[in-house]
Amino acid sequence: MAILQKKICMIGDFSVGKTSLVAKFVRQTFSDKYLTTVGVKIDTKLLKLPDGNQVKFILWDIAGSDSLTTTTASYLRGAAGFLLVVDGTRLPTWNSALNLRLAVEKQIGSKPFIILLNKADLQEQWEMNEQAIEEKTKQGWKLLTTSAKNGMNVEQAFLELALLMT
Amino acid sequence: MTEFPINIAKYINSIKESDIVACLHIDEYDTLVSWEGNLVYLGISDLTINQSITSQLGFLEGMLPAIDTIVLRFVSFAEGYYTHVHIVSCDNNTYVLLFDATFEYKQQQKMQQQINDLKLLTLYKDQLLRALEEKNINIKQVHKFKNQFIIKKLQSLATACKKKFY
Repeated sequence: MAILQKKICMIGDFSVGKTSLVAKFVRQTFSDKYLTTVGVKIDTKLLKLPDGNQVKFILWDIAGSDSLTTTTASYLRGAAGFLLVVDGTRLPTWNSALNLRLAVEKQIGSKPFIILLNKADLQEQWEMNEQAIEEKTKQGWKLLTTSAKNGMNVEQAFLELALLMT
Repeated sequence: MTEFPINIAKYINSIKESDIVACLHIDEYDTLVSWEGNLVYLGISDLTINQSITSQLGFLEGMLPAIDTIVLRFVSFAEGYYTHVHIVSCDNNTYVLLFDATFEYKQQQKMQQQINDLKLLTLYKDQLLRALEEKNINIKQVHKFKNQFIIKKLQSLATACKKKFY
């Protein structure tokens, strides 16, 4: 059986944990040190779906920004879906994610996406507005609380995106 | 592939990129016709001619056929190696040109890291100031209650004394 290949983009403001989520998902590694991404890092990972089928993810870990530039827009071509990453301890990254979603949709059309509220291991610094989250959930958006540090919902996030795309 | 088509040669000469590392020639059916250069340097293992390029190089998924020229800056396939990818269309064929961007990346990364670190520090400073302000408000409130309590106690003590001695 041919393996499906899907391009997935990691999108979000800087230092929200996009690279860490990919590292955890692909290599099961985590580092506390923040190393900013410039351009895009490409990784692949084979994922087994509950129905037994396999999907090969081509992961595009795009440099963090609060808006879409011409350079970053070119990385989105051919994406089948995207993960919108928010740093749960920095409220402005939530607004960035909302703006980025609109910009991405303008660029590649409506594609499946999931919002990841990352850094759940830092609950004491949590800044998310529960009402805003509830509002988006009511609108049918899929949101997951994740932690690249302890692995919480990381595999689940990619799996759920795969299911949204197939 | 020993020679580039004249349009591709002109394109390479027209852009101000550093050395070209590798070039792939892909036909209109996404089949790799030929390639040359040092792909290993970019973290890409050998490619097989006359086979689908997207199954060999996942990052081209969704990128082909290229109608307009696509430029992807600072693409990393392997840790430590960075390339500018130019996807150029010519006579129903596509040429993928890979230019070395490792040195440029290191400079850009250093600069971006400093910018992002500074942004984070400013944000954390603001968060700390906000927390300090909240604590100050709490302390003032506690002082107010404490003073009210002392006044009440003194008043009741004074009343008790008056009753006892007069």
